[in-house]
Amino acid sequence: MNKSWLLRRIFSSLAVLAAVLVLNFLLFRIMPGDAVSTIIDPNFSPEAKNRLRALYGLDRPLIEQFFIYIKQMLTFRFGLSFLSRKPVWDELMSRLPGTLALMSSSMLLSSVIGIWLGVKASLNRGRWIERMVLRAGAVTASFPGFFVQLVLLMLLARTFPLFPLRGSMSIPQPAGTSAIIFDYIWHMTLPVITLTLMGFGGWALYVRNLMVRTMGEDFVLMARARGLTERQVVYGHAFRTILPPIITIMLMSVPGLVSGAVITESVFSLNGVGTFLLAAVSGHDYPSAGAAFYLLALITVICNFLADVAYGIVDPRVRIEAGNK
Amino acid sequence: MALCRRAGLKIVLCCALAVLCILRQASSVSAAADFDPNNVYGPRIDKLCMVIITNSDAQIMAAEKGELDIISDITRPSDIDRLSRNPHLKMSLARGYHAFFLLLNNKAAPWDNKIVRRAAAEAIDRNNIVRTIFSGYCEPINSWLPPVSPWALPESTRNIFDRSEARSRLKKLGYRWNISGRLISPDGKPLETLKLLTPLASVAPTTAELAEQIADFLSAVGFPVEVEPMDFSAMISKLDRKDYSLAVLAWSMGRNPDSLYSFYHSSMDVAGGYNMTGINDRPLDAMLKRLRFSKDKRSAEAASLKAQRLLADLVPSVPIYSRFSVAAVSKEWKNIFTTDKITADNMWTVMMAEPVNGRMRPMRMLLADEPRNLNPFVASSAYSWQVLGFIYESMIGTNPFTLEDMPDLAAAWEIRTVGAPGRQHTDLIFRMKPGIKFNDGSVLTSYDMKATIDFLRKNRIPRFFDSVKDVASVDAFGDGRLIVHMNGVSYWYLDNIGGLPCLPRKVIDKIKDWQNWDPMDRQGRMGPYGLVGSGPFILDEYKPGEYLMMKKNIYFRMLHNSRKDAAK
Amino acid sequence: MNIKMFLGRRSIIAFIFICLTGILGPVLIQGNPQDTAGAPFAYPIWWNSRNLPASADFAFNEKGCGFEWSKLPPAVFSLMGTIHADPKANVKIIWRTPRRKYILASLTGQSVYWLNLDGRDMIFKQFLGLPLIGKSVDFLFPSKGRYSLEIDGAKYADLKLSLPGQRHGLLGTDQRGRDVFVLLVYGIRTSLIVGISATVIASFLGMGFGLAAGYIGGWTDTLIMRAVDVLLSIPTLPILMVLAGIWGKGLWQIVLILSIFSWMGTSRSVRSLILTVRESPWIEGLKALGAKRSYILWRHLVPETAPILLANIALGVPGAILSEAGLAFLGLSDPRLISWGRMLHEAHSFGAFTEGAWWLLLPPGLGIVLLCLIFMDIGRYLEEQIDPRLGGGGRDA
Repeated sequence: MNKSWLLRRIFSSLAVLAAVLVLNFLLFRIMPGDAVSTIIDPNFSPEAKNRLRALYGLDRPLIEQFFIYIKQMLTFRFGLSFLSRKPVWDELMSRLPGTLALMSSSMLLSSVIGIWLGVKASLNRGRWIERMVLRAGAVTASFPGFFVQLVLLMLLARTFPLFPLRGSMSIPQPAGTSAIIFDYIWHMTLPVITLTLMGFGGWALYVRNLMVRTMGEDFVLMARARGLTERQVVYGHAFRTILPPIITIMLMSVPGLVSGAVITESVFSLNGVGTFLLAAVSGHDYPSAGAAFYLLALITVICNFLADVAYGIVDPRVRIEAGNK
Repeated sequence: MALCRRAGLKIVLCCALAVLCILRQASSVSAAADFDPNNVYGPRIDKLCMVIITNSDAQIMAAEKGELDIISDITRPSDIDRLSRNPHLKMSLARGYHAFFLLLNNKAAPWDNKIVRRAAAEAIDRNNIVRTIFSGYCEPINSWLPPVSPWALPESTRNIFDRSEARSRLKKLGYRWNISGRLISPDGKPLETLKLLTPLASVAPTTAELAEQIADFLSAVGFPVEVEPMDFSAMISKLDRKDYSLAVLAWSMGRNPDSLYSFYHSSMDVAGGYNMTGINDRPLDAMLKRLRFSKDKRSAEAASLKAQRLLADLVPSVPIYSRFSVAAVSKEWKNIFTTDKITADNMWTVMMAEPVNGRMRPMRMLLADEPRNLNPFVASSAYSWQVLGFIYESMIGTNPFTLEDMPDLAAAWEIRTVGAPGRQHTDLIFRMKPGIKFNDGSVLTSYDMKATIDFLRKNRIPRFFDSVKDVASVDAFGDGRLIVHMNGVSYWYLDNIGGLPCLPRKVIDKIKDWQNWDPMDRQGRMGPYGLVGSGPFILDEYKPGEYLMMKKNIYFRMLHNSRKDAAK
Repeated sequence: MNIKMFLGRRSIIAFIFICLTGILGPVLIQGNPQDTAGAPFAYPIWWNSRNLPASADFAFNEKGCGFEWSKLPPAVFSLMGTIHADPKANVKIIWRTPRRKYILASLTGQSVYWLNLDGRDMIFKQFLGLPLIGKSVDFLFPSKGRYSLEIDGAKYADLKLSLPGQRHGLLGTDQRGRDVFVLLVYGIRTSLIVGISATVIASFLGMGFGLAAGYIGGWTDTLIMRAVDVLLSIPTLPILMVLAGIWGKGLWQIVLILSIFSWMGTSRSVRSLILTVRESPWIEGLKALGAKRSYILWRHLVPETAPILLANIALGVPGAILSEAGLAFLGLSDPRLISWGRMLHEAHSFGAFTEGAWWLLLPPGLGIVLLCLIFMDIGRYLEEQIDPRLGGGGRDA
């Protein structure tokens, strides 16, 4: 891999990160009001509010706040949340495992199922299964997320009480590690099912299109002519070719996981990063919102970079082109 | 029954009295005269579990399935009707402290004239609003204090809707109407469109509909009002700058009338202040000042009465309605306590409840959102204090029958005005009850209360800032007396100091950093572990996002009372 | 592209039908969609007509009225009008049910009384001795049988008894009593306008930036691609909340906000296409002939990108519609604007899920799904035209 190409990618990633940092800071400060202004309580006088603002550091000049913000972001010491007065890092870390478990398992399931269905559809052109996959994919990708989740919650938690209504554990927690794991899985089934249901359609359609295009390429014809079995042709050659865009898409959808979690968490009363972000944005909780946005940007930039690198490794044309410039 | 006023016919309306009688009918478990809220035996349950459910549909579904025993503050009318049909739930209703106002910019035309404001107040059919949007589960009000407060005027729920009266008032001022019904001001110019600011539906779902109805009612009298929804913070900024014409806002008021000072005194018309209407009236200012700084209850009552009458005359803002508080308690529990002033989801129910079938289990109470922080100095959300309210107590409590002051940690108190005329100040003398213990077994004395007050003062902790800012000094004595010397004169100091939570001195002395103190931190880095209070429950287990388990405080003083069941 | 075949596709027909409904509907439907039409949460008129009552109104005079009632109680009990009587007389309004009678009002001391009784009022419930929590109509209509309203002691009266039923309208009513069918028709406009314009604007932005980045290259390319990265690094939902807070909630603000965050994908595809085409002999030939850059861009490259653009537009509209629905669901859209996302939001906020009010949830939800399916089908058809290999499976929507 071309060293200058790598260096340039790293440099541009850093530039993007810097731009996002500044943008985040400005965006929040432009919003009218702050964490304290929306409190209407006759027992909380303007004097007390100003005292609170001083504790939050909001009474310092904007430039000073900006440098404090930059320092916090770079050292990963995000300070205290305005709303809860707890260290932002601790709050994020306590919520991250749950959200990650939920979103990564649903992404894994939806991508695996979607890819499998997409490949199957592309191999059975014109037949019933391709039509079904296309229809199912289109329909499930068109449903508004919250709608599906609420309907399934009502159906499977109330009408037929198969699953719990809320949360990620029973009250009180059952004893024994295996019981706890089982309880957790039982609670997470509905959210994961709904997310998978909503997600597999897009994967199936995309992979089907990719496979169809690839199967029509010359090299596949060549492989067939050489006498390879159909299985080898499909999985050894065609599928391998479409792996790079699949990996790219996978990496690129990682940042979107958190945004997607917002609605799921509110429907199923889960305590995750999504609700944290939502509360931070609506409550003008600058440290929390800033930290969350920053981490998301970081993850996105890293994923972008990894996607480019992965593509570069797999697709020699990209490297050569970049080298020629 | 609701009878409308129409052209020229004045009907004597007994609406107010009828409404005042409404809630006496609520089946009150302990309406018996011998029930002494201070001599209850309890808590009788071993564990209280506060279940965190953030999704409102899931909350109702859980209640119906029997997974929750106590649900507080049910707001949606469809939910109220639905749960009322459930045979396993007992519903209770009481007036609350919530109120909804139409704010008028008193500094901008046409609202700078009090007659015009009165006409606007009379143009709104509050009954219709309550019927159509809340299915009757709110109360139309005409009062600047919540009607449930013992300080509110008796006519606080009088129906003043009278469209023709509103029109005739405007006519007398010189207003006319053009062909399309729009008002023309006395100087001949038709009124420009007036914008009614309203918060978005995500903050307050019913407010958007309310705003539309109010705009329609005002338009029917000729005010060209248009609704403008906006982000809540943006709206507050505009109210602050007085850059608005009308706005709708709801908040929870306190019981005490001195809050009127914050909202309607002209000195509060500053950036960040609560005088959002911008009213500046000398007699009102004088009366509100007298109210805030009155020496004793009698003069406070007189000032409160006059101040409210002045407000009724000036109409700086238009009160619209106050929401009833509706709660549901599972019938699997007996000794549910309710009065016509408080709903069943109160401290006494939790203390006296026992399972009907005799099999003891944890009582499950709904906690509608994550408390996030249990540090009493820093915790600001209502949910944190729903939990902390079971752990900490204050010197003065609230009588469930009258909502007046009642002894809690303090057996008795006295308020005195001392000093030479011109340099007077208030002294509060409390006498703490003997034999009260904290939940770790140590004794609660006046020294603990002193330590708490001093700590709050010294660190200027924002949440308690207003309550302690005028404290000059605190003296504690071994005989249980606590004397708090204040800097000025005001009857309200009593409730300000009397409502402070009492923390043990030994805990306070060990707190290194009150801002970063996490009572749940077992390593005790910023302060000692644990919430040590004198309340009926102690925090046992906290699973963030899931539940909080509280268990019975075995040292709680009411466990020494004799056990006489007040009712079934 | 065969226009006839294109227009013959079921999805196009459905799309045209929906457009026509969206345009003509508001013209043909009388009245304001925001007006209260019936009782809150009323079922559709064709649902369970055996048990659920439709609306009934009775206008009568001092002789009173009587009728048979054979179904479940109505949603609301409302009695309005005037009564004229001798001031010395005691006027009583009596409601008789098969089980017992209720005295609704007892009036004296005036010559004219204006009546505005409603079963939802607390005062009404208290006066009748009914429980304050719960619906009074359940007590006023306890069973099947004969019901009557009598006025005693009045000279003459002009009254109307309104009993809005539990069934109303083609698709029932919402929590405010508005007709859901009317709201649905009015909502077509918003969803279509937001969906299509946001995507069109985003596509043009994407095409513009993609062309510039691909053809001009160099610093322009780097800058634009970095901007794309920056915008992709910001989590969409929270930033939409922030922007909606700053900018306001009108229709065009939402369109603008959605477009700003959706042009990145198109610009990338356009850019890679341009990069491939740029080096091709045909473009070189044009340059050799002395063609100016703007000529090459306009007359040749833009038409090259047109197919991709069309396909992207068609496939992007569902995304925009769903984003608008998501934003409205979070309560960030203009409450005065009727949109399907907003209908779902209000249904959720006001307890339609708990009530099981499927008529509030399924029509807008399925409407969104239908629109998305239509556009996805159109987009797929266009893709197939571009790349015929993709054709074959599932021709129709």
